[in-house]
Amino acid sequence: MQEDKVVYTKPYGVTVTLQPQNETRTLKARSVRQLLNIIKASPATVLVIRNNELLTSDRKLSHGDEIIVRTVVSSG
Amino acid sequence: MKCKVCKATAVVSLPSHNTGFCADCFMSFYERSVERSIRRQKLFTFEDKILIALSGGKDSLACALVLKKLGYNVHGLHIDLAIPDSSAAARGVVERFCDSHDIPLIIKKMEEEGLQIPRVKKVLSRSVCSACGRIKRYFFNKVAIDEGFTVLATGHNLDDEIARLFSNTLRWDIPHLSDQGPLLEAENGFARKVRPLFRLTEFENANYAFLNDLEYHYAPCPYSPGATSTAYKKLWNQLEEEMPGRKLAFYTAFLAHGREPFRQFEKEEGTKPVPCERCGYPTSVGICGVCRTRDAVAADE
Ligand SMILES: [Zn+2]
Ligand SMILES: [Zn+2]
Repeated sequence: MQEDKVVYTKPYGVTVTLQPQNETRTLKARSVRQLLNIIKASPATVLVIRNNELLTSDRKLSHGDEIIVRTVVSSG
Repeated sequence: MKCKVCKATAVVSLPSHNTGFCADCFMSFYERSVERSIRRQKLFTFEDKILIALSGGKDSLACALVLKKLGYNVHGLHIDLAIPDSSAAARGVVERFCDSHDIPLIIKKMEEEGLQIPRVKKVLSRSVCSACGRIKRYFFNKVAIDEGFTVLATGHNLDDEIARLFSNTLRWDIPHLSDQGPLLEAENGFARKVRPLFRLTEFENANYAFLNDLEYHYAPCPYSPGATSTAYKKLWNQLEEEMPGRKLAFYTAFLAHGREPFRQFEKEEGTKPVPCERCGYPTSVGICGVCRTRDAVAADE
């Protein structure tokens, strides 16, 4: 995937949907860890989902990715 | 990050175990962990007839699914609280889950019991949450005993257990410290109660539910502005992030060294439950809280 390198030097956007609130934002993040830092979520309290696949914090993100961040802490 | 077992790309990272897993290896890790908890704590056997309380949330559904996969004899129980904009959705989730996993389901409707939560809320001066919790526990126990189940299981996870233990410890609440744990033997009109997911965090359950394509109900209760346990869970998640493994260590050390002294003390000093004068189910004295609530709702008609 040669294109990856090009993407990282361009203006950059990942669409993030926060659940359960169902708010959507576009952020500049190159990895899941960066994304979680921006939205101030701890990796152990959310599921990060891309194309129905779970991502760990070290995974890279690309321009145009659609990510779901689902909070797992329940209310009781 | 690579899967610890097969070196494929990891999808779940578990700092408390200092490891990560791919989907298949995580599911075996999870199932083996539950199996080991059941065996080590002697929670139940394949001969037991297990009733599991299903709220429709990820933890109770994950619990039912893993017990079913491990080959245990499980039946579901759902309490329909009759809360507008919430109960119908939760019940639908539970019905579809039991249907697709071939788990027999008992539904107990609070409307038919004269205990629908909106009416209960109306007759109470304080928050409805504690009454609602009491009603649910009452029917879990009653159905388990009336229908001849040998075990009542709930989906409480490590985070629930830690939040409760922490809260009990902050108050040095001896009666509650004496009977907290993954197993409560049947006695004094109470069914044998087990919590097979006590070693697994909410995060691990959410991952297990996701990887098994479980549809679950996660809308918060419209009456609950957020339980106090949420603050304890937040605190413990911060601690766990700095000191991975602390939750499980705190809890298992309590089971090993903390619980027994409280149990002994409570045995000597505590009060024993007696049958409710009205319904016969255990209470501290006279008529139980659920019977009194039912009376209050009926009187309000
Ligand atoms: Zn693997
Ligand atoms: Zn009663």
